[in-house]
Amino acid sequence: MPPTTPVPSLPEELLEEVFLHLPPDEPEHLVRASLASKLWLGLLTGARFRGRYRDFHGAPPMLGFLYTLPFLCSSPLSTDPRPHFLSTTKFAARIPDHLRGYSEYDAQDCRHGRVLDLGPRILFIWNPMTGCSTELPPSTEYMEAESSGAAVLCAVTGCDHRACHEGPFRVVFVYLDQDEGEGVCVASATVLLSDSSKRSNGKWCEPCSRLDLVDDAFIEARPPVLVQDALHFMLRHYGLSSCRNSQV
Amino acid sequence: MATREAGKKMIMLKSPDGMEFEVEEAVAMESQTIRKMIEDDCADTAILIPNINSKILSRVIEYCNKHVPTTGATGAAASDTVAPAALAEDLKIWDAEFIKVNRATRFNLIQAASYLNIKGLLDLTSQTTIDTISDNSLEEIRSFLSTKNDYLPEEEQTIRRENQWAFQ
Repeated sequence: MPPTTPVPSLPEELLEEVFLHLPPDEPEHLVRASLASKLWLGLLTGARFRGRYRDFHGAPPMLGFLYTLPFLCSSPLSTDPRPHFLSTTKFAARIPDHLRGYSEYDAQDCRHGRVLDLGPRILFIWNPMTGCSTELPPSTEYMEAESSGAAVLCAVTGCDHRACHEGPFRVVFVYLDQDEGEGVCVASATVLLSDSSKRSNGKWCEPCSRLDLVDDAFIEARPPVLVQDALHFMLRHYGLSSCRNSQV
Repeated sequence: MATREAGKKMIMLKSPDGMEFEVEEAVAMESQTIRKMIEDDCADTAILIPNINSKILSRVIEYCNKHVPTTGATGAAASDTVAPAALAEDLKIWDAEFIKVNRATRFNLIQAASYLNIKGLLDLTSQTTIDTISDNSLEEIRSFLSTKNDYLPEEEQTIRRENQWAFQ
C-alpha cells in the first residue's frame, strides 16, 4: 500500500473488524450502518459477520421482554397492540400488520428468535425482528384442553441459533384433560414440525403416549425450559407442588 | 534506529520503503504474526514487513514499545512502585493521544494492526473509528468510511420507515 491514498478507505475484511466494535446493547447503530450502503448491509447481515459479532461480544443482550396480562385485565396497557413487547433498549419490535389494533393475543413461548402467539382460534409464529408471522394449523386438543403448555424451538440439529430464525421450527404442545371414567388427569403431547418446502405450515403429529396424573394436576403458566434436547414443563397439583419433566 | 541494550535480543524490522528498525524481540513479539515467525524459527535477524510503510511501522513500534509488558527497565511508567490501576490509566491517556491522527493514518494503522495481529492496537483503532461515526449523520458516516449510497431514495425511505426506532 502506498504511503497515502487519495480517498482513504478500508477493505471489506477490515470494515468488518471495525464494525465488530459496534455496541450490541445499542442495536440502532447496526441498523443505521446497514443503511449507509448495500455493501454494508450485505456485510452486516452476512453469516460470517454475525458469527464473528457473537464470538466477539458473547451472549447477545436482552432487547426487551414479552409479557402477558392477566385475563380480563383492565390495565390501560391492554389497548396496546398485542403481542406485548416491552423494549429495554431503543429496539422496537415489528408488529405484523394483521395484528395492529388487536388486543387478544398472548405470547405462549419465545425461543431462538421466534415467538409463539395464541389468539382467538389462531396460532402463529412471530419474528419480532422482521415482523414476519406464520399462521399454524389449529390444534383443537390444545385449544380446548383444561390446562396446557407450549414451546417453540429451532428444528435444526446442532444449530447454534445465530441465524436460524427463518429456518424450520418445531412447536410442542403439552395438555391435560380429565378422564372422568378413570378419575385421573391425562397428559398428552403433540409436535408440529414446520414444512421447509413452504407448501404448507406443517402438520401436527399424532399425540404421543398418554401419561396418567393425579386428577387435580395442572401445567404452570410459565415458559418451559429447554435443557439440551429435553423440554421441561412445570406440573403442579393442589396441596403439593412438584415438578415433572415432559420430555419431547 | 533503536539503541541496543545489553542482554536483550534485538530484531531488525524492515519496511518496504527501505527503512530499518531495530527493536527488542519482546516488543516485536507484541505482534502475533512476528511472534509466530520467531517461534517457528522463520525469522532471520531481519524481517521484512510488507505493505506497511516506514511512517506507519514506526508508529506501530511506538505503540508496541509502550504496551510491551515491562520488566522494570524501559519507560518511566515501568516502576514496580506504580499501582497496576495507575499504569492502566496512564496507558489509556497515552492511547488517546497516540490515536489523534488523521483518517488516512488511522486506516493504515488498522491495516497494520490486522496484518501484524496486534489485538490491542486493532481494538484501539477500530473503537476510535466507531466512536467517530457513532454520533454522526448517515451522510458523514458514508463520507468518513468512503462508502457510496447505492440505495434508491424509495428503498432508503422504506427501511427508515420500518426501523423508525433506530433513527430517532
